[in-house]
Amino acid sequence: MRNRLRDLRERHEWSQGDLAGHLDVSRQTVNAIETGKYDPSLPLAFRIAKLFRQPIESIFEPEKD
Amino acid sequence: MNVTQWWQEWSSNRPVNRRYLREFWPPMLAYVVLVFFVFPVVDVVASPVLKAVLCVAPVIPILFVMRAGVRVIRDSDEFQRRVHLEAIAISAMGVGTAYFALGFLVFAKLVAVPAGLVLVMILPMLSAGYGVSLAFVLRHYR
Repeated sequence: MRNRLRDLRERHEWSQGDLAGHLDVSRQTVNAIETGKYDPSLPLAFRIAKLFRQPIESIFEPEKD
Repeated sequence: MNVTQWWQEWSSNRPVNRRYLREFWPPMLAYVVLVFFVFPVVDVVASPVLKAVLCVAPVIPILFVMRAGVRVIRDSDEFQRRVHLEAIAISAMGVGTAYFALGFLVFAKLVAVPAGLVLVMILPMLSAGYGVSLAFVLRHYR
């Protein structure tokens, strides 16, 4: 899964720690999602979408084959 | 990120992790006291019942350590829970396989090991295995 989390976070001028605080997760979790090493669960993906006020599919998209 | 960095950030960051440290250390200290000061008394006690009580006494604080571990895994965020559980799974498989191999060697009378020591070492081996596995799991997610 590819995502635009880093881009969205940087637009808000948030550090990974700031975003982690908003989402109530650890900074390591934000880092793992941003680097594509970890795909968030559906509830967390919805929390991210709600935080940035964007549809979930505009933040996350499947890797192209 | 290596294990030390992860541990420093982990232990200082979230309330659930700080709670774990508060819940972990008192029973762990109680365990050390029981092992070093109470367990040796077993040899000089005559009553079998009292002997049995003294033998299993160190297990009681360990149950509280386990409780702290279960609570921190249950209340961690989803990524951290995954890291913990992967490290625990790798450790369990590694230690289980090592004990399996040791069992065959003992059956074949190629090695002789004191049964009590082997049994007592299971939990420390699992804990040490968790620490080693954690380094590999974190490297995977780096």
